Order: sequence, then C-alpha cells, then structure tokens
Amino acid sequence: MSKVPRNFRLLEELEKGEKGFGPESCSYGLADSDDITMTKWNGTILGPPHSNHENRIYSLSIECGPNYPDSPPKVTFISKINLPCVNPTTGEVQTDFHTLRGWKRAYTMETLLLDLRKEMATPANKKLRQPKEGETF
Amino acid sequence: MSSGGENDHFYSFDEGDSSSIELYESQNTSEFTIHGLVFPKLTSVTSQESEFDINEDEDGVDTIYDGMLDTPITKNSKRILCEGSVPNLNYECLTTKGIFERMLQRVDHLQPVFAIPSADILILLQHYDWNEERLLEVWTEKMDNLLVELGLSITANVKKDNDHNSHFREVEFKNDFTCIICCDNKNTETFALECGHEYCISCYRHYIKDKLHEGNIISCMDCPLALKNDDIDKVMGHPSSSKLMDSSIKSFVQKHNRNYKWCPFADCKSIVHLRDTSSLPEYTRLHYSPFVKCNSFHRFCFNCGFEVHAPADCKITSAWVKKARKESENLNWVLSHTKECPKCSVNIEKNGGCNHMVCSSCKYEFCWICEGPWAPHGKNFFQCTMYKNTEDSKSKNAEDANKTLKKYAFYYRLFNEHEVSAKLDWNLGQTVGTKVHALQERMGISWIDGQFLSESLKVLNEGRTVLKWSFAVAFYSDASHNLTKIFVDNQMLLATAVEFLSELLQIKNPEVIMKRRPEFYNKAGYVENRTIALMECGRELLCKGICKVVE
Amino acid sequence: MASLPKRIIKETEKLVSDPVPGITAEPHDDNLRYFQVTIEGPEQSPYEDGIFELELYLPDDYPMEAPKVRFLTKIYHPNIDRLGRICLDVLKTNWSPALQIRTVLLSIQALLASPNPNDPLANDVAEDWIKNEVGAKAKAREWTKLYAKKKPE
Repeated sequence: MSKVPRNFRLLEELEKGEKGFGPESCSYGLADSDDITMTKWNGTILGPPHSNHENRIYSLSIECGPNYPDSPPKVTFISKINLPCVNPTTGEVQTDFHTLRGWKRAYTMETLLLDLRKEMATPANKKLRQPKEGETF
Repeated sequence: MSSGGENDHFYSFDEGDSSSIELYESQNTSEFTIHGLVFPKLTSVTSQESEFDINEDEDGVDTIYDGMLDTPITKNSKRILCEGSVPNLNYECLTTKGIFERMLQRVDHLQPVFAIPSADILILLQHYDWNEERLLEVWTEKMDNLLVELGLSITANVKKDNDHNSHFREVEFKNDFTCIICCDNKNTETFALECGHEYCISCYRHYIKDKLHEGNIISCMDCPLALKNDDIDKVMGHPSSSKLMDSSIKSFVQKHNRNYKWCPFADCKSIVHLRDTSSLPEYTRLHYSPFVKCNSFHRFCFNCGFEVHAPADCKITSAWVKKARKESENLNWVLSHTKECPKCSVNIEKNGGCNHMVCSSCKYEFCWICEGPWAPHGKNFFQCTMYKNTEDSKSKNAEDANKTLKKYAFYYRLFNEHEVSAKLDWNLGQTVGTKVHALQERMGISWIDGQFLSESLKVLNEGRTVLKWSFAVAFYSDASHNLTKIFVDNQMLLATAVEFLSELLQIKNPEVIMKRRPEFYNKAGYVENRTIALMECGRELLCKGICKVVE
Repeated sequence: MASLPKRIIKETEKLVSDPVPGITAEPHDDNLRYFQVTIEGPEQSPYEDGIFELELYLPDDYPMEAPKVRFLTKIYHPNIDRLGRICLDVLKTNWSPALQIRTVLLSIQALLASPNPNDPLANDVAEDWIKNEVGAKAKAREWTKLYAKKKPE
C-alpha cells in the first residue's frame, strides 16, 4: 500500500462526511468550504446515552496541520465539557489522550470523534458533573 | 454503533404499577434489531432445510421454470390478505439468470430484423438496458452508425494499415512481449481485438474484472471496439461474461422497479415480477399490503420491500422502522438470550419461542417478557400486551416526551421479544425435521402424516410475525378508543394461542407428540383464526383512522 | 514503500525527458506516486498568462484506476469547485488504462480552453457562466491575475 498524500486523504474524508456514510453519532465537515488547504474542520459529537452527556450535542474544532495524517490533528471542544482529557480552560483535547498519543496514519477524524465519544461513556466519566448545556469555552 | 461499555443498568417502566415492565438493554444488537433491515437468521435457517420442507407447493419451483418462457405460471397471493375487495396479485418469481434467458430468446426473435450476429444484438440490447422498443427505434434511425458507435463495426474501427499478424480474438502466447499498460517485458499470453491493441493477459484480466460488476459494454482499452461475451470468457479463462450479464440485468431490474422487486431477504437472489400494478393503489386505500412470496418461500411486501408486516400497513411500518432506527441510539436495549430467574437469580437460557419460563433450579414459573409469575398469565393471558396509560398529575411537556419514549420503549420491547421468539421458533423448526424423522422411524408414521408438525410450525411463525407487527399498530393507535381495546384483547388472544402452540412444538418425545396430535391440529387452527382476526382488527383501526402516524 | 511499478517509472521518465509544452509534472522525493504539477492557461482563454498549480496522485490500482488530480490554485471555472476538485470524464467513468498522466493533464488543459457549464461541479459558477458568459469570463480572468502565477514574458 502506498501512502495517500495529505490532501487526497482529506478529500476522501470530506467526501465520506458529505455523503453521510459515517456513523450518525458524529459528524464533521470543513469549517470554510473555500479553504483550499483544508486545515480547519468542525466536528460534532452526540452525547452517548445513559451518561450525563445524553441528548447533548458537542461542537469541536479540528485542525489538520500540514503533517496530517502522519501527525494527529489538534482538537478543541467549543462546547463546554468536563472530561479529564480536556483542558478545563481552553477546551483543547490533551495530547496525552490515548488516540492522539498513539496516533496512527490509518486513523481519521472520525476515529478521533468516536473515541472521544467512547471516552465520555466510560464508567469513570459518564457520571461526571457537566456544565450547563449551551456554554462554550 | 454500540456505545460500548457496560450497559447493565435498568430502566424501570414505572407508572405506579408494581408489576411494571423493566426495560433493560444489552449489547446484543446485531441480529434481531430492525435497524439495518436484517433478517439473516431467518434466511439461513430456511436455506438449511434439507430433510423437510415446511411449505406446501413442493413442485412449485419446477413448474415455474418449465413454463416460464412461454406462458409464465403465475402465483396467487395468499388467501388471508386478499379476501374481500382487493384483487389477487398475479406475479411470478424470477432470477437474473431466468430474465437473461428470456432476453436470449428475444435476441433470437430479433435476429432476422437486424441480420447481424446474435452476439452483437445482445450487446445492442445490453446497451439499451434490454429495452427492445427503444433499441428498434434507434436502429431504424441510425442503422450501421449505431454499430460504429457501440464498437460493433469492425471495418469502421480498425485502421486500414493494420499489418498486425496476430490471430484476433484469440489468446496467444508471445515471447518477449512488451505490454504498454504495465510496461513489463515478458513471455506472456496476450489478447487483441481486430484493432490490434494488444495487451498482456494479466492486464486484460485486471481490466475486465474491474468492469464486470458495472454491467456496461466493455470495450478495448484504447478504442471503442467492443468485447463480446465470448471474448470475455476467453480472456478470463472461465465463463465470466455471465457476471457481466448478471450486472446488466440487475440494472435492468433497478430501472424497472415498479414491476420488478428484489426479494429483500439476505442472500436471496429472487426477483418478483408483477406485471400489472394497477391494483396496488386499491391495496393501499384499504390498508392491505401486497404481500408476495419468492421461490425460496420468503414472504415480503411488494410495496415497501419490507418483510410481511400485517396488520401494520406500509406507512405504519416505515414510521415504526424509522423510529426504531432513530431511537436505537438512545434505547439500545436489545434482548439477550439469557435472563436471571427473578427468584433465585440462576441464569436461564431461552431456547424456544415460548415465553412461559420454568427455572431449572428453583422451578419458579415466570413470563419471559414481564418477569412476573406465570400463574396470572394462565387466566388473563398476556397482561404484558397492555400499556397502562395511567394519568400523571404533574405532566409537563418534558415528561410527555419522556412518556412517549417510554410508551415507545414498551412496545418496541414487545415487538423485539416476538422477533427474538420468532427466531427461536425457527431453531425449533430445525428440530421439527428430526422429530418428523423420528416419527417415521420409531412409530412407522408416513412422511405425509408427519407433516402436521411442519404445518403447525409455519402457522406459529406467521402468527408470531403478525403479533410482532401488531405492536407497531398498537403504538400508533389511540389507546382510549374502544376499538383499540378490542385490538389489545385480540393481541392477548393470539399471544395466548401462539404460546400454547409454541409449547406443544417443544415436546420431544415422539409417542407424546403422536398422542397429542389432535391438539396440534386444534391449536394450529386456532392460531390461524386468531391471526386473521388480529389482522382484520388492525386493518379496521387503520381504515377508521384510529391508528395513524403522528409526527 | 512497495516498489514502484514499471509503468509509473516509465511515465515519470518520459514526462522529464519529453515534457508536454505548457505542462510540468514532477514526483515528490518522498512519494513517487505524488506529483507536483503546473499547467499554463491556454491562449485565448480567460486563463491565459496564468500558471496553475495542481497535485496528482497515482492510487495503488493505477493504471486500472484513474489518477487523482486537484487544482491548488484558486480558479473560476464551472467544472472546478472551490476546493480545486475537477469534473472531467476521463478522471471518472471514461478512464482507460491506455490513458496516461500526460493525456490526463492535456485533457485538463483542454477543459480550461473550453469549459462545459452544462456538466457543472461548481453550480454557482456554472449558472453565472450560462447567464452571463462575458461577465463570468471577466471574473475568471480577474481570478487568474489574482491567484495564478504570472507566465514569464
């Protein structure tokens, strides 16, 4: 298998997102549809059921730098959330979050969003007190 | 899909009733849920039936194929749903191969008109999606130009100064051949059409293989000259053109989907052809559904392509399925096979469709659905079908929504229980074959006399399906209406009947089976009647607008 | 990385030794399937005097599968969208393994010379093109000046 270059890889992800092939619990798209570098993306995560996140929709911003997908993207929660892997003042997902720390080239933005959603549902995190809905960082 | 983790908390359906239903979830979502339209279990079971056949028309398959090409034998839709005012549906069951064979006959028929080789006419038809009229129209207009366009005219497509001395349309072995596709220089087999565009066999195979599933005419890699089926088979080294024809017929079916429908069952390759669709609106108007049965005995709705869903009509069905899909994220409670005995907490496995459970350890008898004691069910069967719409004094909007969700959850769970039970009944069906066998061996009963078992199983299954879908109807019905109450009573009666029959079918001892044979007849007949009654009652709810989809 | 197929090596060599006028294509050192491409705007088109940058990637299945190509320079064209994606038959259904990188790039150059607003990828641009061709071409010319590299005199 050859290495798909960054831009074509991002185009693949964009098309998957646009056509809605991905899971219903997460979505993502380009923040600026004019941005030929495809750097800034928006993501949403539907809070997992049976947790304090149930029925909430979390917005995130994702930044895919020039070395994506060899290096992980930078992910920041826009909606306020209380999670150990999220910086409580900036909303940024800490780089030691397992998916970012063990980043592989095959991972996509979807992988990342789904893993964050799983993180919200872990026994340790699902009962964490959450800020009022609608607040942002 | 699963949110993962530990889904072991319970949601109690609490409306002040002590015997309320507990809603719980498990991770076992893959097989029985309706999101994703899967019925793989049902199919795989049917296909495994080798030693016995639960269906009546044994020789139906043969007759249909024998007579198919001239005057197709038509099948009539099942009695139950066609009584009264809707006309019978005349349909036939085909396969892509069967349709292709018909097309071949048309080619022979058309040959004198075109006066070109049959293989070429086949390509013309393929290009025009097997639409003969359209082809004839274009043909009269363009004649030879059409052949040029579609790469069938060799003279027009081949360069004059072609000094190539290959044998065209034959695989040849060449030493030291340079293929311009892979740029490799090697001793290899090659292939070329009259155009002389010659490529190594492995490139040619790769090229054709990628295109077989598209169903379009495959042409030379460098010019419009068409590869005929023979050429494709020669290059591939085995009959691969059938795959191409199959894809092409598939697109034909797709384009004529008003008259042709794929059987929706997983891995079933049948196509049901309904010539005259004029009666379909009448079905819809009267809240009947045009159920058909393919040659593999899968029954489905010709209108919405879903499994048989009476008493629900297509509208209720689609609303219900959509809702199930939407809610599956939030209400991920699909049912596991094991439950703890409510008394002694020993794990009990449900191995038949019957909901009357007896704990193997403490002998406690309980109902699988509500986990309450079985005794009250004996008289007042299936309390569990009753959704108790108790008034809540402080009902606010949010609580209303929550209540709808709970109401939905309640019915969804019942729906699902019966789906799971239906699946287990099929497992039971596996053993029925063995039982029939045992009857023959040990009791000297003739095969035909043993058929009451298979018949009963079939009745049980149809009853179960109707019961299952009746919960979708119940969910969308006005609970305060009298007719809805009658409907619920009917549900209970059918549920009782189904449980009895399911219990009978679990008997293993051949002697006992034969002794209780009249009971089989009685119960099966009763289930059949109750099934029809429930369907009719559900249809009445729909016709009177008591059951309707409210957004 | 797996060894490069002979076909790709040959095409690359030929692109260097026998370049197409007005077109350059060079593989990246770290990924020989990934090309940096430039195309000069055709004369007498709104894109003339501009040099447009593109990127091209040969997927694993090349030449059975078409190359993937995208404009990196912003361009106002009914068959090219805002992300530089191109709507061109030879890149999709009409691809044939007998075509090559150079033929694809020539087709793209031809697309610049004759846009096809009836088969649009960028709907707003196509609409503009059909309703007001003169205005649309003026805008294309303006964008060429703004975003494309200038052709050396």
